[in-house]
Amino acid sequence: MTSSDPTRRPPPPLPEPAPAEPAPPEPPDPYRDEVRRKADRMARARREHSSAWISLAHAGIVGWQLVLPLIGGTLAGHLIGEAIGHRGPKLAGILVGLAMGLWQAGRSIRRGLEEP
Amino acid sequence: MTVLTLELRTPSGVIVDRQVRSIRAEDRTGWFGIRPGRTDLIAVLPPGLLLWQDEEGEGFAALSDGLLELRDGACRVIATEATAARELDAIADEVARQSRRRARSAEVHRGVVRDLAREALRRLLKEVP
Repeated sequence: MTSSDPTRRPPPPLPEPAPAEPAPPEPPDPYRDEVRRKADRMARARREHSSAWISLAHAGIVGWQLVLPLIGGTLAGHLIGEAIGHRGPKLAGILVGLAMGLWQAGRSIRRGLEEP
Repeated sequence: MTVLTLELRTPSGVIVDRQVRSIRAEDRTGWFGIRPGRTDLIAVLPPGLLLWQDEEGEGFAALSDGLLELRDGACRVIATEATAARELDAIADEVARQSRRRARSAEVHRGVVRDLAREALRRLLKEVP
C-alpha cells in the first residue's frame, strides 16, 4: 500500500483545541495586593543593588586602566629622558601614556555600555 | 550572649517559631531592624513583609495587619493572616493562592446562605393561605 493509493482518503483533521477559558477576575484583596507590591519592589531593589555594586567595580577597573598606562608612560619617558639627557621623551612619555590609558579605558567603557 | 527569637502567630496557629540572628520589619514609618540586645519595642505592622536571618539563611513572611512586640529578646508578632517562605518570589504567589482559596470558600458560603434563604421563603409562602 503506497501513499499514492487513490482509494485512501486523507485522515480527518484533528479537532481544534478548545480555547482556554479566561481566568475569572480575582476579587479585590488589599492584603494580597500589598504583599505583591512590596515583594516585587523588594525583588527589584535587590537586583538593582547587586548591579550597582558591579557597576562600581567596573568604574574602579576603568580608573586603573586610565592611570596605570599614564604612570607607566610617564616613568618610561622620564627614564629615557634621563638616559639621553633630553627633556623631549619625558613629555612624549606622558602623552603616550595618557593616550594609551584613554584608549584602554574607552574600550572598557564601550564594552560595559554594550552589556545589557 | 543575647538571644533573639521570632514567633509569628495567627488565629490559625504558629507560623514561625525559631531563634534568629536579626529581624527586619516595616511599620507605617518605614523599615526597622532588630538584633539581639535591642531595646524592647512595640510596633504596629501594616500588611506587608517581615524578614529574618537565621542559621539556615534568610526567611520571609507576609502578614496582614499585625502587632510586633519585642520584650527581653523575644519578638512576638501576631497577625490575622500570615505566610512564611524561604524565597521572596514564593511569598506573593502563596498569598495570592490563599486569597483565591478564601474567595472560593466565601462564594460557597454565600451560596449556602442563598439556598437557605430561598428554602425559608418557599416554606413561608407555602404557609400563607
